[in-house]
Amino acid sequence: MTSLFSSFNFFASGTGIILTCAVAAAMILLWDWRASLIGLIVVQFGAAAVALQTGQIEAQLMIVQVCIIALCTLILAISIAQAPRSPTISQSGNWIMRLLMLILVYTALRLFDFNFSLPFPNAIEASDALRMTVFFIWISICALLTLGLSNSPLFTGVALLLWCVPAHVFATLLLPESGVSVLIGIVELLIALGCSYLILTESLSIKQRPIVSTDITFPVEGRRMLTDSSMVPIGEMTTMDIPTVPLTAEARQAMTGVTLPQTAPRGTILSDTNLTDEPLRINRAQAAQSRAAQSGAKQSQKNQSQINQMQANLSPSDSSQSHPRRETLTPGTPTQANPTQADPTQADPRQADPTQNNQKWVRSGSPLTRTNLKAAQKPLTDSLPSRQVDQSSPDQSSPDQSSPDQSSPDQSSPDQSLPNQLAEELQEPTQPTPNLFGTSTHLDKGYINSKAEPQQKSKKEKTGLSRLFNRRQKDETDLPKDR
Amino acid sequence: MNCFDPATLNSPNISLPLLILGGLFLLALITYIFRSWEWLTTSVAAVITGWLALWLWNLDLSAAPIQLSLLNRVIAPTGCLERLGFMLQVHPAAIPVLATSMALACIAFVLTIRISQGHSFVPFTLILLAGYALLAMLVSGPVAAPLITPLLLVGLSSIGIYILQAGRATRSDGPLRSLIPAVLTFPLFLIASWYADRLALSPRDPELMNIVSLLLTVGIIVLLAPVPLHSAMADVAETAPPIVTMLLTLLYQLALLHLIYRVLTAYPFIPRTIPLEFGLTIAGVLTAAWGGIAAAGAEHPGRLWGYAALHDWGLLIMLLGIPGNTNWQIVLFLFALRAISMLTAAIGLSAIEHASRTFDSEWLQGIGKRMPWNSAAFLIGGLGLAGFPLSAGFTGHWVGLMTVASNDWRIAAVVMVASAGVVIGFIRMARTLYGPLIQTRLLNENPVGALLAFVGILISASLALSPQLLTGPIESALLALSR
Repeated sequence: MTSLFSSFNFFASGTGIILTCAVAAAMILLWDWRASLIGLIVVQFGAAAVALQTGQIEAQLMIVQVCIIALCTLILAISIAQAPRSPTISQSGNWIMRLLMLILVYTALRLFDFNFSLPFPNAIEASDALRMTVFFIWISICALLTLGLSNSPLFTGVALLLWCVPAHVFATLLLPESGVSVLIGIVELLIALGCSYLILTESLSIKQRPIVSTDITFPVEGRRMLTDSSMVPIGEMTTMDIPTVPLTAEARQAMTGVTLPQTAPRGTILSDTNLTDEPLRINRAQAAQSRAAQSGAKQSQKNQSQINQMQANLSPSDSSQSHPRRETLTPGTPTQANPTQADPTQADPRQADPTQNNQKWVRSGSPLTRTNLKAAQKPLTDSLPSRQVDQSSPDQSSPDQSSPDQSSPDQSSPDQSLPNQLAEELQEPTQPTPNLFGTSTHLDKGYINSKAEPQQKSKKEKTGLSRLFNRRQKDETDLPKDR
Repeated sequence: MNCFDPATLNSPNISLPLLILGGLFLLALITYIFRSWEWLTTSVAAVITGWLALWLWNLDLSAAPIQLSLLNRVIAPTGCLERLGFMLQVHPAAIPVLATSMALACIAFVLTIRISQGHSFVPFTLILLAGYALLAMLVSGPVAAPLITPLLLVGLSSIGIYILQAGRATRSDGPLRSLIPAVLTFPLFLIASWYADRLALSPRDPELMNIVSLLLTVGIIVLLAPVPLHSAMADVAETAPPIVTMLLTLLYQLALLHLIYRVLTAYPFIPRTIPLEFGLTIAGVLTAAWGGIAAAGAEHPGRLWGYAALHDWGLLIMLLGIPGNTNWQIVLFLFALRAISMLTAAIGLSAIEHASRTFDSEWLQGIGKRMPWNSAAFLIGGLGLAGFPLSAGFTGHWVGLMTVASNDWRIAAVVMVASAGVVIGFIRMARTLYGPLIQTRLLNENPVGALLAFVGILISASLALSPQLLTGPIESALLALSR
């Protein structure tokens, strides 16, 4: 590693310092997380090379510092990789504005002769001291500019780490045997960890933000977020630590209509897997649906039998109106808890089809974005005639054939419209709400709660496929157009 | 000084710093393991920190060593702990800071038993408490003890991020911005320490004195986070759990006041060489004025509370700028009243947040009819930060304003007008809280919560009517600091 510094001695030369300064400026200009993280390592490497040029610092200290900064960038990069949203949410201004800011600062530095000298030990030559002064002042200014232009944890973290680069060099130069440089390294790691945590929570802070008139920073950003319909309201969920209302046996029964075994006492809280494994089930459910569409008659018949089972289970007098989850969770297969009501051929669907193992719940409350609505609307609009044709085919037996009084969705009673909608949604692609670790846990429940109420109203008022289609058309028109 | 060496654990003596730090870290570890049992961990932590606060406050350092028969060890109260270049000792000046920190943590834990502030609150707070205790007990370090403090504050602020965000899917601006002052200032203190070392060799060098004074003055002012570096306070108060906000704000500011006292004691030439008084007065006026103006326009209760605290903090900064030892008595008096007011407001605000969940205006409207005591606690605590008559902060503000007016009456007038802004904000909030109730589903306040709010109001009212209750503790704290 020591030879690495000597082989990159170029960074300590005048051209190398200019190049490092240009990299620091490019970090601001490009304003991209990749450029910022790579640039941070390059700047640290350049600073280490410049500091080693003085001959007053041991190479091992600089090697450790470069490794620490690399570790910090790795920590931040991992958080960004896990974040479902872009890390540049709180970007302020465009590249022209940032370029103008850089030009302004550079011009100010050239015009005003500050006659400012940083402290250096006497052993350092004057030329080295001058180069380091210019270099470190520029790096510090770039750090301050990044701080001023950003409100996101990523770029604030990068700016704070950039600020620590000259601080570490100075601490190593001025207080060589104090061990302060070690403390600075620890502090840098803590900063990186804290900012990476905030990157993850920032990605979750998709609740619409009100514009705070007294807050001097980034009002435009808040306004943009208000009009961004991809930001899903989280609803009543306020923390990831505290779970929402536990899913009790009664609640599940109310949602599914599936009678629980008599051995389960009332009020029993179901195991944690029922709360935390939903995304896995959703993904598996999606995969199962896509495979079912390809596999043909056997799977279609199975789905149809599930729908029939569902229609039988959902009685008009159940508690769906009172429970918000009812609207967003769709029963996929009958569970083992109710073998008596299931189709005899489907007595144990887990054994019959391994892909259906976890298809107890299918989420229909995917985020109400324009893309999702189009994806959801397409099969309803385009494939309506083909579905009617399919109903006559033996492969795609419809509910109409099994129950004659449901021959048309428009003619179906309000009590039977929900299974029809569920049947349609069962064949539509669903999309889980992204969250912190790529999984969907309590926040999804918060989302579900927030979405439940409008769907309940529409269910009361409208029935049938065409009503559903009209409702979705109306929802789409309600979306903001300025995206 | 003979210090305890941790390597010789067989020694029959245990130094008090080791006992405090080791005990807090051990307790943090245990409470982290059992963090799901929040009521248990908070109760245990409240009992231990409360006992520590009382014991430390009554600790006589000149007394004989304390025999621990259970562990067969002896605690040496004046024993010191030396490790990694840091030397820690419970000196007289550290005792009031330690006891106050423990007492604040104890109150926060007691309040957390009823209303959760996140599972990680207790262990992380105990680690933070250990960190602040380390700062208070720090006698010497790799560089002079007061000059290494900002670097350690960076680490503590980084740890504080986690409990400020508390896993909430909200904006991360507050925790993020709370990092910035300490990170920006620690290089200034490190460079100042290098100059201070040189100053020891030539104590009458005016240039060196100027540089040290300039660096430390700028560092102190930035650490105080006046306007425009103030935004962390309002943002944290808006998004973070109220009890966490109260605790971390007060712990940080207490450590800051201790740091300033130590810096001004160690480098008494600073006020003579640099117009520190002028800088602090300007910073204080700007902060108090902006706090009042912003509070008048704030609608979010948390943000309103944050701006009221900012206004109060501005007055305290102004008082720091007035030379003379008697002013420290006023500063401590104002800080004690500030702590009481923030505590009272935090009790009410946490209960309101718990009921209204997200501080939505729909939920806040008329919530005072269901939660009269907690709403009153929030309003009285907030008004105390503005120095409203018959609130806890009234006497402190009155004395502070009289002191400021004795130098320049115009500054006192500005502060008075700003206080009116804070009062306007709280009157508007009172109209919202006690207006017509919209959410009739709101439950009445919990009796225990109402009792806590009543106790907070009672303490505020008692101090408003009899402020001389604080005279004894403040005089003894000031006496201890001056030793």
